[in-house]
Amino acid sequence: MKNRLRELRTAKNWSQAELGTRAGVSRQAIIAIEMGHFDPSLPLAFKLSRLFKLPIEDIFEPDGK
Amino acid sequence: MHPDDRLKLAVKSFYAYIGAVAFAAVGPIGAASIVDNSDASWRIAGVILGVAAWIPLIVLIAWIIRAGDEFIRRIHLVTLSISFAIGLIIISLIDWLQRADFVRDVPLAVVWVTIAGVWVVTLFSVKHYYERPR
Repeated sequence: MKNRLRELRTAKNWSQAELGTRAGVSRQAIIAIEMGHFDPSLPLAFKLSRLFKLPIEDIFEPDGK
Repeated sequence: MHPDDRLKLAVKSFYAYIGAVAFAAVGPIGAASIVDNSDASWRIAGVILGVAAWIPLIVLIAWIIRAGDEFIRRIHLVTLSISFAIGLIIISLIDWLQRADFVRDVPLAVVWVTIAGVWVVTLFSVKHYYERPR
């Protein structure tokens, strides 16, 4: 799934480790999500949505859309 | 979790991992040295040591799966699934090769060492797959 996680994270000057800490996951998880190799679970997607104060659809875009 | 607590946990986990791997590697060597003894109690000790050598590593992997985030959990569960499937193929291949008389009695040690190797290689391959650059 495509996502704007890297763009949103860097806009807030957060490192991948810092975003991982805020979202309750490892830095490796954030790296894998940003590279599109791993889709987050629904609870994690909601956490990220709350962190960035954006709807999930504004952060993640299904492939083929 | 406080960063200092996170660091302490990471250090403990690292040493637990090193210890578990070392025990899994050295345990069978120790077991092999005592399992040929004429005294039955030494042979029993050898069997127990040889099998128990895997337990700390398996317990540690189970703990990592349980305590890790969804990404860590995915990596280890995918690894176990793939390496189980490959192990099944290896065992059935050896069985059929023996039945067809293409190979003679393959020591079981060769089989489980190979399966352990498959597990390690699969883990690194799966990690690389999920962490590769775009």
